Amino acid sequence: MEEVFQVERLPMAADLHTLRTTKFKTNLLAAVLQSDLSVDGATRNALLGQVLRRGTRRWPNTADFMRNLDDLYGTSVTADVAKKGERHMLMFAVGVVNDAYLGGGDEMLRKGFGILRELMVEPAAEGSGLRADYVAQEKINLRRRIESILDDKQAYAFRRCNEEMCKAERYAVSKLGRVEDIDAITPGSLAEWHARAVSEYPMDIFAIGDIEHERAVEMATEAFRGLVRRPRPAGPASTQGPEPSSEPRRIVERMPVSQGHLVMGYRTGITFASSDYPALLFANGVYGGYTHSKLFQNVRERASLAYFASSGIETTKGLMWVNAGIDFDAFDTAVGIIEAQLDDVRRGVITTTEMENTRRGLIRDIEMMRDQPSSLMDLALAGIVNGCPVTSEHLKQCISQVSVEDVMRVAREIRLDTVYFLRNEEGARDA
Amino acid sequence: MPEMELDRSELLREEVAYTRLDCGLEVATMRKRGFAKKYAVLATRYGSCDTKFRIAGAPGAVSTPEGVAHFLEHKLFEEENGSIDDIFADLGAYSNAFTNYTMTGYLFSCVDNFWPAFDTLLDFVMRPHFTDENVEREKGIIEQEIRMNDDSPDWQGVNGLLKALYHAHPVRDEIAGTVDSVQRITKDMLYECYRTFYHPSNMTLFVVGDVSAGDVADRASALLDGRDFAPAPQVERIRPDEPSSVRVQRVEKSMAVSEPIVCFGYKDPNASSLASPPGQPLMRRIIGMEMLMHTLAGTSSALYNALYEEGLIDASFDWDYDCEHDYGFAMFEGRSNSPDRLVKRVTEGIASFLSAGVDPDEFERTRRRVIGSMLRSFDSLEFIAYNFLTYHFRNMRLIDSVDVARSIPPAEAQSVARELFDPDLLAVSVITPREPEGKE
Repeated sequence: MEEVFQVERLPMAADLHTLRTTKFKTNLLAAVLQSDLSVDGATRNALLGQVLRRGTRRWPNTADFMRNLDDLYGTSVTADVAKKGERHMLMFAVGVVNDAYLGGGDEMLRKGFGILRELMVEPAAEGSGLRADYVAQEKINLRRRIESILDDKQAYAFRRCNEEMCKAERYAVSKLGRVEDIDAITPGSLAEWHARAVSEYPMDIFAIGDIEHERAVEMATEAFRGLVRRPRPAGPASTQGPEPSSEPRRIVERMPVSQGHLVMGYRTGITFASSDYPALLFANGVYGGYTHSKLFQNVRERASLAYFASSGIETTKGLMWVNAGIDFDAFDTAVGIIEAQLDDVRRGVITTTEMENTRRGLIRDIEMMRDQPSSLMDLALAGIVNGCPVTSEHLKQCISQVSVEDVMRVAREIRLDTVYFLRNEEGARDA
Repeated sequence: MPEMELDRSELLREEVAYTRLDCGLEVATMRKRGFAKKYAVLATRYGSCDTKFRIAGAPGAVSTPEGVAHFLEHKLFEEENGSIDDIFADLGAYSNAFTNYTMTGYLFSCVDNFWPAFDTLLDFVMRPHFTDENVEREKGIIEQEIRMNDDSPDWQGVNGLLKALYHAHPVRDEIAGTVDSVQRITKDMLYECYRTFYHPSNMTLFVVGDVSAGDVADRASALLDGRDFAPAPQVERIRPDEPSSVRVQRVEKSMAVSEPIVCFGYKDPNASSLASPPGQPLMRRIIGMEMLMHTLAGTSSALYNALYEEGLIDASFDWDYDCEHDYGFAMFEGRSNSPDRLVKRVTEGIASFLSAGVDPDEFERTRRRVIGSMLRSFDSLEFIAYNFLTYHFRNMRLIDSVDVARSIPPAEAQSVARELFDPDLLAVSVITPREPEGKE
């Protein structure tokens, strides 16, 4: 299978990306609206997604909308937000059963495009606003959803580290926005926001599965006929943060927990658009991306300090994190071991096995994306957001050429910014 | 070449080829043409519930601390000179393992080097290397894994429910054990459990990906059939007597959460009457209940939408039914600011749903939905591998799912539900918020 998208500009000023494969039993149709990440925009977009999935003009009642989807062999529908660097995305997705499994034809596919349009542009309205009861209920649900991040300690520690590290940058805004901005939103203001988002946000449509490009162009054009858009280009996908001070910020928070959560935030200065991006992927792999990598081997296997200890990168903003679940008393030891591992990467204390196993691991991960439509779409979106489309084949090529010197060079650019620790309420107060 | 038995689903357009090797190992392969990923799991019928057993010919029964199956899973990766993960990493393969109540599985996935990785999997699982030193070292890692689960409110909610439903059955214990029970685990215990439960005749190898079933069977046979395995031990798994009642009706635990999380469910009174392994009747029961519970409380149901509009549930609300030959339960879970009111509304909803009888049109709509989601799930190799083995160890065939879903009449699902939703067999587990003391 050739995992290269065919791209075509549609009449309603949106790009259609298609990828044909017959190996799946379902087809993925998606539409993505991009905007600049901002405090009030994030909250409104998040609320909008939740309200839109409650119903459409044709199926204004949620239960009826859901029953219709059940009738269509459990067609899946999502309307949600995501964050890539300092872009905020409203993402709509519809998953339909491949018609080939239902006796042929293209009825499900055609209906799928119709549902995508209804979901995104034809909401259940009331007067000049969106349906007031849905807006009221979803305002409460959004607040609960934002607050419930506390329930997942790892996710919570992650977010707190980011909020502290990127205090002065837009990146600190959570993808769901802020509780304090929910109240002011009304059915009328949300309808205006919706109209503007649909008209002005740059839009990309994806069709992945048993779909010929020409058929997809025809169906998407037909489905969105009459939609007039005047897209305005989004701002920069990321901004350079302040230079970390030589002494990293250190934040300790206390809560009734059984395990300490350590998150260390780094700035890499390298994004998806950078020619050093493959080397950064590589450096992350050697450092903490795999079980063969330095963090897993030293924090878990040698020191028995953690069940998990790994690193990961944000491709658009150029950040890296290390996270580990550790004993409360192991904070200093763990931070020491973690820093020493990155120093080893910087100094080139890297075995040939570490290099080659990382190369094989990265290439395997890239090849496996071919089996996962959502991963293929995510790679394409990273290219769109960063203004540099990259095929998985090209990425593999680049990975195959990364040298130890490249890994050392990018590792030297990586600076520790913030150390965040979530710990229990007992124990030393000065930890 | 070992003889193959084929099982095929016309609707799914999938086929599984089975064979049993001379050493007793069952081998099954589902070929997925066009997929880059290849996925293999070697699993044994041994899980966290198997803490007491008797071997024919041995003097008495053996009891082990909670968490041995999971501990053994961790330690099997250890080699004399390092971890088997290193060899998989050299091959560019991803390796992992899992333990649940009834099984332990070792897996790898890869794109290239499938056969060397395959050889590695079959070799290392059949060759334990436990030492006092490496067993001690693992205790710190597992303690952190247990503490991670202690901080997971969803996990604690479900575990609380099982502790409320069950008096004695080991399904009420944590899979990884406790910080204390893990301390009591020794090298000798691991060897004893290994000898008891890791005989090839107690195990199944499953491969999914673009690989030929014949090649898989031939290679497995070449690797294992020449080996000198001890005769298969006759193992009796001893379960404590479990009263049919629930142990307590309500349990509560306070944690750092944003609002209460409630998990409530019914103990299946008929699980103990199923054969072991249960086979087709259980498959009809599980799929029938999935269809019934979706009709009752799925996103398109009147009940779900009423609860959602009243703010008693949010999108986190979910339900599940699971059953083995000696335990089973149907449960509902989600965040709710009024857990007791939610339980009351759902139980009332169940009562009126059962007295009115299942609406045939709604049941047919659910049937389409369930068939569609089964088709969808066969796009995921991970889903296929895990569920194939879960089904297989219960003597059920995953690939027959769609045919079973097509054949269940509403009356059949309804009669299962009438037995299952017995108000006397209901228990509730609530995670309540504990306020943090504050930030520094």
